Amino acid sequence: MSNKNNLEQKAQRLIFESGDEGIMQSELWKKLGVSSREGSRLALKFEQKGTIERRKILHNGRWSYKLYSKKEYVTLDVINGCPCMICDEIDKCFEGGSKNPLSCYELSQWISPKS
Amino acid sequence: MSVSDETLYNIAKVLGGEQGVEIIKVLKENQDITVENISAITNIQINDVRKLLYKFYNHSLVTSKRFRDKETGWFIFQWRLQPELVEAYIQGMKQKILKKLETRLEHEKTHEFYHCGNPTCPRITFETAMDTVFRCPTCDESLRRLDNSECIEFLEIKIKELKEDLNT
Repeated sequence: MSNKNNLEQKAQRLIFESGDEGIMQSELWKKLGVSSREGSRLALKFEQKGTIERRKILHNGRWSYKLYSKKEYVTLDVINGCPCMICDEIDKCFEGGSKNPLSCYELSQWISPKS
Repeated sequence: MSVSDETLYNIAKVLGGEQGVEIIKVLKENQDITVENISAITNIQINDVRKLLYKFYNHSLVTSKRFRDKETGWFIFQWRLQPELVEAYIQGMKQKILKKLETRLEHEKTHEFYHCGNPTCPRITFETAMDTVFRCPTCDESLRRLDNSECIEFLEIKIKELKEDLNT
């Protein structure tokens, strides 16, 4: 992976980890060890991609930007309880396979109405 | 990592139960740790630690590096978490499940089902029921039409939720 990609990933991670608090643009560049010019370009790029939000704020009497990640935590909520998650044969499961989603007992139990 | 600790531990629990969670917690705090050290910290038998680590390894949640012990000549493995792959693992799992649910939904929508009422007997499609003159091939009880509209509704909701989740 190129240094540029590494830097972008690191920047995205720092913004994401700052959570709802966000992170000052200037603070981010210091942490990344890049110039403010390079940093601003990155922030604009992320904003155009739609992965972050830049909010203009007054900080110590000067206008600056605070960065907030738009990325949400990946969770298991939507597949919670699905038996496929713990099935060792998930990759062998297909129509006509040794395991079959059309006749799988565990899957049938999961999708059947709970009494 | 865009996966919370809670989700990480949920995956560990799904794959390895409470012991799996203990091991992942240790790996989160310690990089490049041996099976023996994990066992000492968690009080889980070495063989069980090894078995669970291989299970996590098969799902790319952990990785290992090995080197040879100069004195004994044996290989020593050091294990670490691969947090950057946990998200990919979850998304990959969702993709696989989505595909299976779509296959199942299509089947549910295009077939009529019959059942004898015995919970241990499988459902029978209309075509099979015709062949057996509407008697259960397992217990020989008479078959009755099964309403699968709730299954279809459940599958449609899950598929919609999964698609929305994968697109965000």
